[in-house]
Amino acid sequence: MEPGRGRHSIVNRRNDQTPAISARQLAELVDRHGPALVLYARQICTEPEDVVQEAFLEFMEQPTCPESVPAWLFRVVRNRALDRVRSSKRRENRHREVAGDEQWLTVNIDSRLDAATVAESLKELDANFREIITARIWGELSFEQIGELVGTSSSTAHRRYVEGLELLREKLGATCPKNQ
Amino acid sequence: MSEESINDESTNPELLELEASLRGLSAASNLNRAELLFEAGRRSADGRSGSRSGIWQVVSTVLALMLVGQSFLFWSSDDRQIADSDSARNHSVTPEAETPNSKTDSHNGQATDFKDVAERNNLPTQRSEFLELRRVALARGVDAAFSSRVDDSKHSAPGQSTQQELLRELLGS
Repeated sequence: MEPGRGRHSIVNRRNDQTPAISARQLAELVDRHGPALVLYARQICTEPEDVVQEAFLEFMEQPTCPESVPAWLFRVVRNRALDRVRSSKRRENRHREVAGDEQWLTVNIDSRLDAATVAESLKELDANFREIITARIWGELSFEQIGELVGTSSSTAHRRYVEGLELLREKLGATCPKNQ
Repeated sequence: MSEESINDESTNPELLELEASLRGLSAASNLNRAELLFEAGRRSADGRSGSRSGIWQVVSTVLALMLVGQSFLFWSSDDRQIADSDSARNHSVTPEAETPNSKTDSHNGQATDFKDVAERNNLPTQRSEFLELRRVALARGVDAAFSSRVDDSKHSAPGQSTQQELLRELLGS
């Protein structure tokens, strides 16, 4: 069973043993991957914080640490987010519902892009492009991991990534004043 | 396709520049870190206490079942003992009905029964003879009792007169 599907990991966890990670390690993981995971979940469902929190809690209950923690977390987040969409029967409205008012990105000091503009341009992209761009840039996953995540080959993931970036560049070139 | 070749394919300088610019942005998150860590700690504590409570539940269930089983065995054995004692008592009270070849006395079947019972219950036979004599005397009179004693022991008893006196004294006549 895939991680994040059903209650497999919770039922089979070893209650008599300590979790695979300590509270400090969990806090570090939350600080490091939490925002990217929330942004990624935001591309799929409307309750990204809840989904990410559930993913971290499920990770904590794992008896052994996954080989790649970020890839595992992204996979759990994706599965749980899709489950939420399915359960609420809002998959058809997925593209419209992700366009909420929440802040997607924040500006770093050295950034030459406007966060709000990038977010608006991202929202206009297809969900498949958004998902891969988010996982690649802010999730820092490899294309192999992205391919496994979205159920495609690494080459297909790369092709969609490049295609999505080009679309994003076109949108940013037309709207972003910093690039003009 | 390896990661190197992918990077080589995406060497479009404009895309690389956009990629670097996008990396300069940070993902915003409203994730409640404190709540998440608190929930993680709570679940961890629940998991540990849950395993302990599970053990206690199993132990208490086994003990309860053992208690019920012991109680059932105790009461069932007690009933059996009572039934056994009752049947034994009935058997000892009415043995003659089950023994067709019981001894018969020349004078009175009751007296023979009494003797049998006395012998079976280790009662003093001397006393039972005395009671037998008393019963005959009450039923048929003192003379009959005396005569029966004579018939029983044809060749006389030396203390016969004494027995007769005692018998009269006993019967108050």
